[in-house]
Amino acid sequence: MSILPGAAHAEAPSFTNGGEYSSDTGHVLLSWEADQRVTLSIAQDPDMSDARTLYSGTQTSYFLSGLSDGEYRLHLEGENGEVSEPAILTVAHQSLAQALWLTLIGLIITAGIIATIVRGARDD
Amino acid sequence: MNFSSGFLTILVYVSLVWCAISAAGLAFMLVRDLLRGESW
Amino acid sequence: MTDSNVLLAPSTGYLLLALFSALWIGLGIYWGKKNKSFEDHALAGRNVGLALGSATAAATWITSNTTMLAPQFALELGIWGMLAYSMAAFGLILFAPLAKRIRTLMPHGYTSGDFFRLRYGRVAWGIFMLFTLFYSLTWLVSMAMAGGILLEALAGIDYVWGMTVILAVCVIYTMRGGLTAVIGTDFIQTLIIIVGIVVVGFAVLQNVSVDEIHANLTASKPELVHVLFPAALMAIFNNLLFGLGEVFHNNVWWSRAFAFREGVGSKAFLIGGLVWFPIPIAAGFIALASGALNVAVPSPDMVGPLVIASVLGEVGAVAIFIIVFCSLASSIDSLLAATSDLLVEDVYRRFLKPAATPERLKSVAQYITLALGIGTWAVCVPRIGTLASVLFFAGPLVGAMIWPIVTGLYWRRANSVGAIGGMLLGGGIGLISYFTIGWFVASTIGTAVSMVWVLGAAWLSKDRYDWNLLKEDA
Repeated sequence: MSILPGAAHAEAPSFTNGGEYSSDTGHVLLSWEADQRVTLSIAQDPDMSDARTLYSGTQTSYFLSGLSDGEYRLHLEGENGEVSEPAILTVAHQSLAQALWLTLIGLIITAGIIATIVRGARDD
Repeated sequence: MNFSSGFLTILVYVSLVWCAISAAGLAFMLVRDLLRGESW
Repeated sequence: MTDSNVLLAPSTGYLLLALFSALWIGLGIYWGKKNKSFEDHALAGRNVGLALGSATAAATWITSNTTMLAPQFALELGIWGMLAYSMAAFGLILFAPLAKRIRTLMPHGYTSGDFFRLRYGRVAWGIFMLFTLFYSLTWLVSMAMAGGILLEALAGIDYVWGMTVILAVCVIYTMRGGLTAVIGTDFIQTLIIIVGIVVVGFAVLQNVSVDEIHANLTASKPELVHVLFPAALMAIFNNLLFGLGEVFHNNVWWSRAFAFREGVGSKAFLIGGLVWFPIPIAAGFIALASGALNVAVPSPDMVGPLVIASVLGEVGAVAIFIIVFCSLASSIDSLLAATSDLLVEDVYRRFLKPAATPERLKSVAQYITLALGIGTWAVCVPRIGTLASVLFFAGPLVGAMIWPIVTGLYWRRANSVGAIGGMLLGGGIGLISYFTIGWFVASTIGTAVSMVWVLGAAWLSKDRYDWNLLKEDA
């Protein structure tokens, strides 16, 4: 990078897709544009009081996974203190009832296949 | 309800040891087949 | 990834690539010397023993997906994700009894296409060929692309060069050595992969304990240790059924059922499945350690290599490189061999030249392997990222073939109406659900629809199939 230390003209880092993310699996690939080292942090409180740092460095993407239901705020801070617009990530997992039904259907089909194989040839 | 740390420990160690045993088992089986002239 | 943060020096990468390429090609030529006819070339003389049989079943099922996608699955879907991935082992385990049945019913058979043609007639055979070629070719393309992408990410080797070398090596040794070479190299590749995974796994555990991993997950990725994680729950049986469909229909597995010596088949598939079962967990858990080890993951498919490189440095990167190369080769070679045999037996011999001599068939098989390799290469060169994901469309298609195959092998009353309707309806409705609901339901729904239709048709049928019709002479 050719930026001079503390260069004042460095632009504030920004999330690439306008800062709106949603996920029904709890994982999302974040990406941003920045011409400097950034610190990425996440929080659930609107005032970022419970913020924790996820990443610090020069990468421009970060894979986040395993989040529970909720609304999360993400922000990027450049090393010279410029802060991005916060991104909002909404996590709403798929319906547990639907998941359990599909698991049951899968279990029945599998049991049927195993039963057919175990029972073997029928001479009818 | 979460998977416990103990469960994860068992899962990880059992699968690693299982892998080690199966590698040794395959090697042993090949030697046996070769000695009997039954490899292919 | 850019060249600046590759894990291995390109010169080391090229050296490893050259060494392993020379090894596989040398072995392929050496083993190829004992193949005289098409039967030797395609089925290794129908005399493969238990050790080589078990290892080839496991090795072929260990694709680059197992060693590379398992960590990604663990990172996205957590503990259930690893277990869901392991469920694919049931594909091999449940194929064990089928392999024995197949060998008994079809002592002279060559391919899974032979079964569909003799059991259900030309129309069902046509649908089967369409489904299986779609699946096999997308699988081949996705692995060749994955190979190029991984070599570039690991060692900065140019995508086109890496992909070309992997494909060329596999084509050369498969052409020269046929199934014998595929099975022989599979054995070595299995041992390298498993030993590599064990060494890497214990090395990761030297740096971080499972308790620390668990505490980190609970604090920052709680859903990954959650028992009722919806997406992960849905993945369990969807993956299992996808795996069953892949193994039950594909000629990669049928050709092995024909190639294994009498009495070896069912044991070899069972042992192969048991060898495979722990691998997605052993390879996957290292992704769960990424948080505890403070490894930032810029994209989910790189989590495995990044964690290993951070723990083991250059040695780890070398290990990953070798594991990846072996898992790619062990599957690409099998697919090339089995798909070319399918085309030789089912299209060339049955339709075009029934009188072809065994020597002639062998050389046709070699040319088709070469053509498949060149075709795959041409599709892979433009590096269209979405192509690899096309493989997942195959989930409902292969799921829809499970019931026609299982009932066709065991029930005399299973019939063409059931098989044709089951494949078309199951495949069609499964694909619709893929686009309207999501990938995680497609195989389950495709298999369910096909099951209902196949069972209904068998129930109403007055046909009773004569098993002797499957014993068609070679």
